[in-house]
Amino acid sequence: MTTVRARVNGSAWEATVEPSDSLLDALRAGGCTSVKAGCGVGVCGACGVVVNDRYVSSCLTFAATVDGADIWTAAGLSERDPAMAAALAAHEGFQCGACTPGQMVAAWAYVHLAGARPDDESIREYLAGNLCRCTGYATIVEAVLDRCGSAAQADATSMQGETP
Amino acid sequence: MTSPDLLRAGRLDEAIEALALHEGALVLSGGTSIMPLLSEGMLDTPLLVWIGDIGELHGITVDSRGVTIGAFTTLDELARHPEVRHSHGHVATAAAAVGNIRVRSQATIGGALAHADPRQDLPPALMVSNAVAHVAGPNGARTVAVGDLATGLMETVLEPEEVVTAVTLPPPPAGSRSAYIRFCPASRDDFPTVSVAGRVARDRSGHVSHVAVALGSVSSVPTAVDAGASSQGRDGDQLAAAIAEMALAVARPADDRLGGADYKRHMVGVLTRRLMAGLLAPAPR
Repeated sequence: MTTVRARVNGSAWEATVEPSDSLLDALRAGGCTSVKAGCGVGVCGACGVVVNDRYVSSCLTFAATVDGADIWTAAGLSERDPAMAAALAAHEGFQCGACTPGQMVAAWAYVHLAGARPDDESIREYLAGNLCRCTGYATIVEAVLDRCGSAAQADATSMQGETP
Repeated sequence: MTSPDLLRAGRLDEAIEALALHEGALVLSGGTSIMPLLSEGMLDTPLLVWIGDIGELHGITVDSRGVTIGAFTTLDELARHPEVRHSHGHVATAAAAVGNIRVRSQATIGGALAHADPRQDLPPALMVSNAVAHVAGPNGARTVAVGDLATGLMETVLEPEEVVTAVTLPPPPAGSRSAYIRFCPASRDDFPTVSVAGRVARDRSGHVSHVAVALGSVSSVPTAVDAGASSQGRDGDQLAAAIAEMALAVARPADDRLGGADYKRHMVGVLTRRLMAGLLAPAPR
């Protein structure tokens, strides 16, 4: 057993883990249930988390390797970017909800980490690794596009504000 | 089978020492292959040596020797790097084709080469760039051409106590063009049924002076097509067809869930001809 200390959604987190435990299992065992278990092999996206500004599958991440890391799940990211969570709600970018926490993390990562010029194609490419068995993809893509549009407007406004 | 221990190596020599000391120990890099193999009970190892904290394995440098990519560079970092995209576009394309964005944010170039699954996208592309792997072990460092690394299905020339530390892509020949295509009839996050990487260059008079082609998913190792001397005055579609014949001669695909052997052989011919015809066509103005 080994002890891991990290930050999860901005708060100190400590876990005692077996060396081969996944980050997914360690988070959920510690009560962080906003990360969901899905396929267990990195395909479905339900367990997506952001570790040190990298969007990864927590089921493929060894918990023992995240000592000192900054970890974010859907719960924390929807507070960091309430506009993204609101866009998913407004566009009804969910149906049964099983994939929704993972979709929130993927959407956040697209908006904040991907560095892509937002358009339908690049959003679909980025979110292709998140499976929605209800096939509610169109509204999820719309929500991300909407969020990117309002981000671009906010950037334009703040840039105008900074003009000397 | 017991659950392995995990060592977070802070330095390269510490990792090598641990690998040498514990028989059956394995390097843990991105973990995207090791974690599923472990949870399915397909790996029996006493110790995983995590190399993500070793600073010298990170980062990409560009100098007169080419582009040198630290072993812990992720496939996403590789796919996005401006110089990789500019001088080795087929490598960036292959890296961007792997799995999904999470896998690409986690899987590393060193891990991919050591894992040596013949269906991987990256190795054929690296072979076309004449890539060289830097390897460190108890007796010092050595280099191995990426095309010489794999010896069989998930088998390599690497010694158990050796670590891939970096990969160098030498500068491409002047005036070269390159591309990578993968045939993936099922889900795009799957391994390709067949993949082809190619590069051609022309001399000042416009004659084809360089041809490099490599195939993925067609045998137990990524497979080079010895097409270097193939032009013999030919060009365009005629040369593309000749290279496709050479590719068919070295492809030894097997039946599996990605396709039947005959089907894969057929697609090797189709894809190689298509890729090379595109590279040999007049450059778009």
